[in-house]
Amino acid sequence: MNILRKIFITLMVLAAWELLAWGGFLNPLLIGTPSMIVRAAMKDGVTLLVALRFTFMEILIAGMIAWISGVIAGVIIGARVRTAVIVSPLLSAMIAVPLVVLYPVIVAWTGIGPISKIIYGAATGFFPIALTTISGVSAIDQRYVDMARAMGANRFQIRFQVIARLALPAIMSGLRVGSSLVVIAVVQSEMLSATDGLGFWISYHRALFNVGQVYFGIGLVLVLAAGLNVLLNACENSLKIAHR
Amino acid sequence: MIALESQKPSLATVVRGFGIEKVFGEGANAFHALQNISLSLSQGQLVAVVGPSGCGKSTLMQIIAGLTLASGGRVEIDGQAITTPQPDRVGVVFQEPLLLSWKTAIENIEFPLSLGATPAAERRQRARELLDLVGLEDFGEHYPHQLSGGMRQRVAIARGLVRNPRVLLMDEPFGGLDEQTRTRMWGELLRIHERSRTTILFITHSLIEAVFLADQVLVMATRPGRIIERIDVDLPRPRDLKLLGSERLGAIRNRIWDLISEPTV
Repeated sequence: MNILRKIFITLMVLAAWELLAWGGFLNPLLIGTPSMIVRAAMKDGVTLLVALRFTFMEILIAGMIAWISGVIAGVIIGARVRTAVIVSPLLSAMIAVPLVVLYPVIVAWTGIGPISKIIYGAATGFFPIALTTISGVSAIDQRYVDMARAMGANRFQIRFQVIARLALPAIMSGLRVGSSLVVIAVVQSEMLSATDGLGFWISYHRALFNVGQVYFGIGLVLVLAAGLNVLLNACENSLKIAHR
Repeated sequence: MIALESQKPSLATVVRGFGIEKVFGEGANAFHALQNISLSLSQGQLVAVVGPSGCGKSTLMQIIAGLTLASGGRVEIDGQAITTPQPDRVGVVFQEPLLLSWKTAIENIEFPLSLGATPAAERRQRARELLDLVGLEDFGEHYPHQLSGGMRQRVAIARGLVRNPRVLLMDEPFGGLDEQTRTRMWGELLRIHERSRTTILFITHSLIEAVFLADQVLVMATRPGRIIERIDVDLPRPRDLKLLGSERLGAIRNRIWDLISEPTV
């Protein structure tokens, strides 16, 4: 019943949008109409879906690099209190730097293909992930470190089997923020200079005033972001944060 | 059952501390936490250390566990110096259970073994034995948050014993429990000690607890932390909780109280 109501409301909104544009109250060139989007999907849908897969792969690789490097760096730095005190402010400052200014340099080094998007996306995601991991790791109860040492844990085991697990809730929130930044960075960099990907096609169609294609592309970006969110939730649940 | 065959029949000395010193800080700010602490525990003995808070009891435990280096003196277990944690010689139970929340009770007990090269089947087998020793055979698959405070501390005791150490160090292990649970845990610890015959060094600030549990009580004073008296507790074993109200126990307790409450000492 609830779902039916949601579908009904959605259809009503779409119908109103269409009618208002037809009636001349809205400029279809600026905000498009549902029928334009459907026509665009029929004409260029395949290209855009292929682009979606392309962008998704870039995000996946960039995200993996950001996750792994950010968490490892964060755990190693955070476990050394003195190092963390020095490094954290530097990393915070790095977050304030608009990394997009470095994007042309990255393109100059690695070309306009997917590699430059992956590097730029991974770099953008790295800083918040590393920073939240550092603060999560330095906030854990130090008595667990003594316990693990007394039980015979070596440095590596203390860092990754005890400290990282204790800091997991903080690390997860960093991964969340970092992952959305990776999505933004990859799509944004595709719009600046690329050969394929959703950002590239949105930018391309906008230049040609293909309003329907632009909105269809935006819709696909939303679907992508929502899908990644579902993936993150699944990760979080499987890590049994409930057992704290 | 706990393996008994590795233990020698004679009352060999297991733990020996010679003139242990600990100084924190340097120069004018130096704080003498421990001064000339000597102690010795023989096989199967349960020795309690009592003293006011801040007398360095926990620092002493950290040094014997190899977690902190002494500024002077030496700790030996079976004649070998301790300067780093050696889980096969020294087991530790902390004030808080410090269980890993994402592991079940049995996985927590296995934890010290999982850090080494013990095969999984052997680990599980050994953990089961200890779960049985501490009376939690039906709770192996429970997570820490599903266990009561007393049960959690029993899991911590089992974890401390899982590598079959020569000595078990216990740092105010029942301090965080309510009185009824604590009293029940005393009986439990005596039973575990009876069965495993592990040498135990028990740190506490409760005089009753020290006298009821121990064969010998080391009384510490503060600033600097030092041992002012060694009192042998000649209460018969096995000890029953009824002993808690007895005159003999009360007399020993009062003697210790006189020692630590004298301001000039």
